[in-house]
Amino acid sequence: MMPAPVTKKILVVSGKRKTAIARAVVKPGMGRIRINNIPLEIYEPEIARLKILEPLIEAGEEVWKELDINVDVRGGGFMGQAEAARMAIARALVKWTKSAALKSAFLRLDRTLLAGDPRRKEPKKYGGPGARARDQKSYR
Amino acid sequence: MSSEKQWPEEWYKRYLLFGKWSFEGIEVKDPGLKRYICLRPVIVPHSMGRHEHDRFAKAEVNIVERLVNQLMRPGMNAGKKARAIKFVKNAFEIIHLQTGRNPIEVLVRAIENAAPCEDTTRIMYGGIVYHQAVDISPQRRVDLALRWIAEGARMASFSNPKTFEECLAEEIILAANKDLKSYAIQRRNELERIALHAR
Repeated sequence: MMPAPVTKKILVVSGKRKTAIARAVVKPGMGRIRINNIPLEIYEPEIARLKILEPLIEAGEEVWKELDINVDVRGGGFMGQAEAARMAIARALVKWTKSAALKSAFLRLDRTLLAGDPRRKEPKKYGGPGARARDQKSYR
Repeated sequence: MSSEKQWPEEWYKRYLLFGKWSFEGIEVKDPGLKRYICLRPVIVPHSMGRHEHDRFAKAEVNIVERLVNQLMRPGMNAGKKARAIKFVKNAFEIIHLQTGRNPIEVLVRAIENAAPCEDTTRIMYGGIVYHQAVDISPQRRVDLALRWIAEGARMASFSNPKTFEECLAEEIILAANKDLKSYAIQRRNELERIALHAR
């Protein structure tokens, strides 16, 4: 029987962006990061992969090489999902390490990594095809 | 405004554009454009920008991203930033192959060369329209340079077997060399010539 790690077990952290919601499950491991069961190394499209990689690069390998992170993303488009995933990962790393230095590093890099981006799609209203666009009207 | 803001040292090592090109050691030689060409190290030129309400905020958007944004134009490419980023990525590869220099540096040189200094404006004076030469603000100089580079690349690749990436790379290289074959340089010279006459 392996003695379970005493202090840190499993962390569940979430991140959001637009309509995408990401849930990151962090546990001790060997640096495996999966997004919806796809390893980050082969996650497509590439710009989404690089976006998700950013908090990991900022944190440094020694932080995440001893963790396994499973991210589950639902909703939104590929870029919204990527932003939600990176936010979940960044928050998870801060929560795991409890490091104020890492937190301030993330905030300096990109505030939305921890704070989130509150912008949402503006609802469409009647009288037009979109949120602000109105139907054409004619006078005669 | 970005002013002479320095980015943390370690960012230059950590954040290479497309994981390849470093922003280190790239300087804007034109003192006027210095504050308007942002060389913040980024991996992906995709910032989910929140700058439309702030007058000078676009000066703080990375210069490569600003080029990417210029490539998205209505037609087949509207709103397709992923596609535009791919174009720039491939074009940068080509630039590096052809010149052996850091493509970001080549782009900065191109913008400096393509940025016009003088423009004309219409002035109504006693019922007669005069054209008066005016200086262009540095922000607009960067905007125009980027727009012309993108426009030139688009026009060059239209009904041409060359790919868009090749045309974009060629346009940037030509502009960086102040070559008169570059569309952006032609536009700049034309505008400045008109302004000279209206002085």
